[in-house]
Amino acid sequence: EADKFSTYGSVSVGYRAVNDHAQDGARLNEYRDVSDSAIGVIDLHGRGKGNYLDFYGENLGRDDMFVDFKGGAYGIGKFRIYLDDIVHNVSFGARTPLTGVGSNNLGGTLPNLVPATWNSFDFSTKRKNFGGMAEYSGFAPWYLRADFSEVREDGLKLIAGSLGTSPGQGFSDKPFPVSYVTRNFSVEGGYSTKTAQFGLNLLHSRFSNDNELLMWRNQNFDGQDTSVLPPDNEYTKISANGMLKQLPLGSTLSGRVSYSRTKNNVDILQSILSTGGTTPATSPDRNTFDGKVVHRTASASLYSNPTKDLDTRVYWNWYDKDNRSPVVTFTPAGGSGLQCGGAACVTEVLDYRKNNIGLDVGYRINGHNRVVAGFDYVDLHRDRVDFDETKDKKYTLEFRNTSLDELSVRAKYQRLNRRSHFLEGGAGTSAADVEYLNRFIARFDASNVDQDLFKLALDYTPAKLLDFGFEGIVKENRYKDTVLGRTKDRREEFYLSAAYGDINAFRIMLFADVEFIKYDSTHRNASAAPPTFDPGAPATLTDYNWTANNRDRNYAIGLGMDWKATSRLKLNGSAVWEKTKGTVDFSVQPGGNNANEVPIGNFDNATKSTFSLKGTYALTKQVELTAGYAFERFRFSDIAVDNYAYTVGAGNTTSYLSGYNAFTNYTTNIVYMLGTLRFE
Amino acid sequence: DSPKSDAEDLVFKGDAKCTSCHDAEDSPELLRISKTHHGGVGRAQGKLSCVSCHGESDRHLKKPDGQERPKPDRVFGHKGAYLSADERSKPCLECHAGDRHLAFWESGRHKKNDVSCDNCHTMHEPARSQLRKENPTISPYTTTSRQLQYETCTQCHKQIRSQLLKTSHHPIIEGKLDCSSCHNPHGALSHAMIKEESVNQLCTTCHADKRGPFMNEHPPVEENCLTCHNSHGSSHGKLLSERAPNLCQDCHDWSRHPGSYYSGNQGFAGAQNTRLVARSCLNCHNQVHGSNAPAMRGKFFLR
Repeated sequence: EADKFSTYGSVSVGYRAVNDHAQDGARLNEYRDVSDSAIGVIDLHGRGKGNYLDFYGENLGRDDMFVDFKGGAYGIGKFRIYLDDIVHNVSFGARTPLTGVGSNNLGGTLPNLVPATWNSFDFSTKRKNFGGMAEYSGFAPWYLRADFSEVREDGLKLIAGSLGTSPGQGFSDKPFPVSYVTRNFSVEGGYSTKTAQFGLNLLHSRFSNDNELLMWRNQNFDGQDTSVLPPDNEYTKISANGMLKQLPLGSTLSGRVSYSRTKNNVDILQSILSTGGTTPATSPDRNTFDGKVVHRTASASLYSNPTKDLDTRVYWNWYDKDNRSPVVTFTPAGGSGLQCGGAACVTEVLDYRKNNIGLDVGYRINGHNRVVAGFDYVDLHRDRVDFDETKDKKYTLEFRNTSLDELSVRAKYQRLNRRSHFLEGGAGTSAADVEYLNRFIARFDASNVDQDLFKLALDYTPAKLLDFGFEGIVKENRYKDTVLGRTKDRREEFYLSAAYGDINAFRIMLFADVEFIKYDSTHRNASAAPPTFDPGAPATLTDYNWTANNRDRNYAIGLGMDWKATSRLKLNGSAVWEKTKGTVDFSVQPGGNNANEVPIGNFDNATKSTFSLKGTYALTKQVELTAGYAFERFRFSDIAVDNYAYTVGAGNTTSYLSGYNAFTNYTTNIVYMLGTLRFE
Repeated sequence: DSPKSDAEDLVFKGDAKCTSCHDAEDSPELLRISKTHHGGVGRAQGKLSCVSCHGESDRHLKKPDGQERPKPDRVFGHKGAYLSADERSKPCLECHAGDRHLAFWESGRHKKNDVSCDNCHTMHEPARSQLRKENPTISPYTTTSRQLQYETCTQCHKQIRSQLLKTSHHPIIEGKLDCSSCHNPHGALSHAMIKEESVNQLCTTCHADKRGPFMNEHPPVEENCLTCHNSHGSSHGKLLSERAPNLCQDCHDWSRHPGSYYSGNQGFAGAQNTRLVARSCLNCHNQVHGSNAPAMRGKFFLR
């Protein structure tokens, strides 16, 4: 009997009705296909003496279909084949005055300032991810594994572009056709036992794009303009990893090395519409760009457990990005509008190398108290105009206590000191030279910073089946020597939760999240005639400093319930309320132009309320009925889309907008019913 | 009060001494383990039984008269909190330490932070990937009826749960991405246990259109996607950690428009400034991830 191949599972069929109120229903369906439709789930399993098969399928024929078929024989091998459709809806009913939507050549009779006459389309893409894997371990401890996948992405995405010499002369949104195919194949072989593991992996990934250029009508110059779309590329990686266990002092040595190469071959545009309204030669010093970037990495980690109470880990990571792409020099004619600062344009080839070493020491004071101290050092060299070397020193101290059976405490403190070598201390010849400003600009991704992070997590279980949780994180970055740029950012995040009950009977959970996020920055407004690029100079109406204080306040409350009301009836309920509010306060240096010193009160302000209730009734052991109701309400307010207009400006310098992300409010009611047939 | 002498094995060889009490009527239904891979391996190889994980548990079997029955030698989940993480992981590693995806378990942050296998996995329920789900689902309506991986991970990672629910997020709560699409929870040598050697190599696994190489590269893009994006979720579009134009102005200060402030009276209701409305800086500098356009058009990411 035990050797018989038995099957079990369920098949569900039903219908979903949706009543949504939305000018643009994309946000409701951003990653889902929530529409009036038949719904169904197939969940089948087969179990033999030493083998198994699992098939799962849902939303068949819908934009978010998922099919997963796997199986295997224990001790011999396993396989998997899957098809996963991922839709990304951004805006339905977007508009453009251009014709040929869906192609890479957009024409049209311009100007056309009547949006009602424009063409309508959807900013939406769908990824069809088809793939699988097979692993053979019949000659264990050796194994061989192969993975493959093909990801097709089709649809329309947004590309924008300035029309004239600067935004003052308008810009236009346009849909570009997405027709991407990424084919990935990897094979790995190795040896794996409890005391030693070694694996060699070869990966090849090819990305291809049917459209490498988008031609479109530039309303400002009434000429044909060109945007360059993502180029085809090929990515190949070979990597080896290994591990040796049961070494002296209870040690485990792990390591990994990898070499990867990304390359492509792009025809360089020999001419392009320029800000002068003509299509001059771009005069590159080569016709094709043969891009080639090599990444080399090496990592090693020695974990030791010399005594029951002491464990240590020493690690080293090395990372090298070697950019072997050619430098391209463009020497377009003077006055063509294609020069860079009135001279030739020379591309920059960015390399960087990172060396990282670190040490963790964990000590168990007793059964209930454990402390872990860590030090992490990074030395990064890069080819960049402002900072060429960055050194990070990070110190961490973590403490865990479980003295009280019902209370577990985890506390962590982390201190990061980053120091970078600044190259632009002598930039510019004088305060009247715009380059002079670079002496004072420190970009936050590499500038000197002192960071403090505090984290406290409490888990309290005062009674059986009753849990309280608290987590508080305060993280502050002080960008020490920054005159212009981000000067400070700070995150204060608090998460509370309470849960009661047994998941197999009745369990209810409540959570409440509060987050305060701040970004402070200082900037210099400098005019063109004659400017003062010295932030230390007294302010004038055209040349002055100003600061921005960005604040994000995020709140969320969630309630969930699972209840086996009777032996036949099961109820699941969920409700979430979220509110986010973004603001910016500006302050202008006294003497500067404070006419526009008006705060922003709506930077991505959003309120979202969702509620769902589902009941499942077992008519018999085989037949179940499920009914559910869901409600969602989303409101969005942002200075960049409130009071939206499809055209800004007038005449040739009109900006043509598409309605992208502008009308995302929705309210929806969803009801669904499902019949499920189970078989054992 | 002691195991019936005539009891028969129900799932594993030699499980009669356990299943004579823990039978089909028991709640929770422990015998559902027969439908899990452990049940399959037990039937196929006959080397797995209740004692493999719970220990011989002699004191549990011979209940002293008049006293509460002692627990088995080893129990898991909430009830096993009195055991150390290593003790609870020990029986699992007896078989699984040789699995290739557990090769870096010792180098991982979970082991360092006293996480054990039973914190995430449940053995008796035939759930997807045997993942433990101790709390009700709290999320908007989803079109999938699968138990999703993030519900197990966010039992501990509360900050991540909050970010996954934000307006702008990867399709994780919709079931289209799992936490293990990017992280190896069983340990890795990379930062935050990501599956690739660097953040950028991980992101371009799916976003292959951003792989380049580009004639005109944007330095922070080349070093770390997380300089501008928060991969789990954000209240700002495109997972940006801060809103444009402020995010861009944190690095770009220059004469005229980069150094100007775009304030509350510059929206559609006010001056309709094209450097603030719609997508702000990206209205013109659209190709911030890198451009192969020629000359000035590519240098400033305009085409």
